[in-house]
Amino acid sequence: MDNGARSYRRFLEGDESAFDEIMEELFHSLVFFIDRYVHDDHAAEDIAIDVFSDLIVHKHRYHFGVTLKTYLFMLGRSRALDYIKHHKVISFTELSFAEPLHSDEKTLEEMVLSDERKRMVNAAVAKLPEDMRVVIHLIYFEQMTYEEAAKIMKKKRKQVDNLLYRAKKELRILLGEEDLFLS
Amino acid sequence: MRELKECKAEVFRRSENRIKERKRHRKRLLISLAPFCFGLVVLSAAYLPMITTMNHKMSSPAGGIGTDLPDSDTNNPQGIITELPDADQSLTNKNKGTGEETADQLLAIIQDTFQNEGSQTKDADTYGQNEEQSFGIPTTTDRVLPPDTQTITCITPEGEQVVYTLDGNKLIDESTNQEILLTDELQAELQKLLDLITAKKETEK
Repeated sequence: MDNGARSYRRFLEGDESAFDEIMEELFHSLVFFIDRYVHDDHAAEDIAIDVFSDLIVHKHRYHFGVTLKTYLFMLGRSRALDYIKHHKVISFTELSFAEPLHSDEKTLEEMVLSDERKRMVNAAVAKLPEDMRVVIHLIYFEQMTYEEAAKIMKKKRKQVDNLLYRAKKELRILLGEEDLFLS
Repeated sequence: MRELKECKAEVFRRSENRIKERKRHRKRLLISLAPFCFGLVVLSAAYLPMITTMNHKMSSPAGGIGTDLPDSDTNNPQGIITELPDADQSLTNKNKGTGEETADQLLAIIQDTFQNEGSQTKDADTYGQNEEQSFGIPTTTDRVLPPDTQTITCITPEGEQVVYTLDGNKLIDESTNQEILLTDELQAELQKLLDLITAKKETEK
């Protein structure tokens, strides 16, 4: 699984439909990941659009040293952190009078997580501290390797190991299940 | 949340805007730097020849006589060494001001004389050979110089040492063994210059 690198190579050679494939494969995952940081679907979408436009504007910055997914997630993370630095994140505690514009519109979670169990875990993950949240997301939801997660989070593999161990421990407490992460 | 198609369109729209913006920035940067580059080119074109000339003047040796002394004498950076047969040591002339000009004049005259052969040379018959051939005069080290003979050692700007012997009206190039008979005028002029140089040496002593 090259996570879009082959498609990107085709795009660099001039095949614009290859970029559509990349977006279909990776866009929503990226938005979901960025949302872990910014806690705002629309801001996460906006940032993800910027990340993908980076791929077009700075075509030769990606050197195929890591998977395209890892590269996009790295970009997404730094843009998300920039966003947090420059914007005040306002959390709305009461939305009872706000009606959704399109009642049949899927939420981000629904788009990305078709598995009910994953949605349960996702709800619990949202309660974890940021680093633990991100590492669970990358390893469990995005199926990345420890090395890839370490590259994205700019940590060492050992640190990712420890973080994951502690995150799983917390999740077990939150979810009340002992054998949640067997694999 | 927007549809994927809308997001794709937005991605391409933003990319185009960013590319246009980058091109605009580059253009603005070039326009702002162009006067500086132009100024640099003009200044270097104006001043570089001057700097080159100055460097050339500072590094080129003065005068027609060489700037290097023979190794034995380090106190005198340049000069003609005139030797008299009964002198125990070579006398050197520090070329300062007129001394340098005198030395230059002397070398110029000697070199011109040999080049142009502007003097009367004896017939080949008298010596049995033509003027360009060696007259069989022994080298300086072997020859016993008559009392009124003067040896003139010149050091050229290239650092080459050329030895001439002035024996009355005969000027001999010791390196080529070429002998030239000087006219009375030339001889007088050479002698005058040599006397000037010798006199300068003695006053500096």
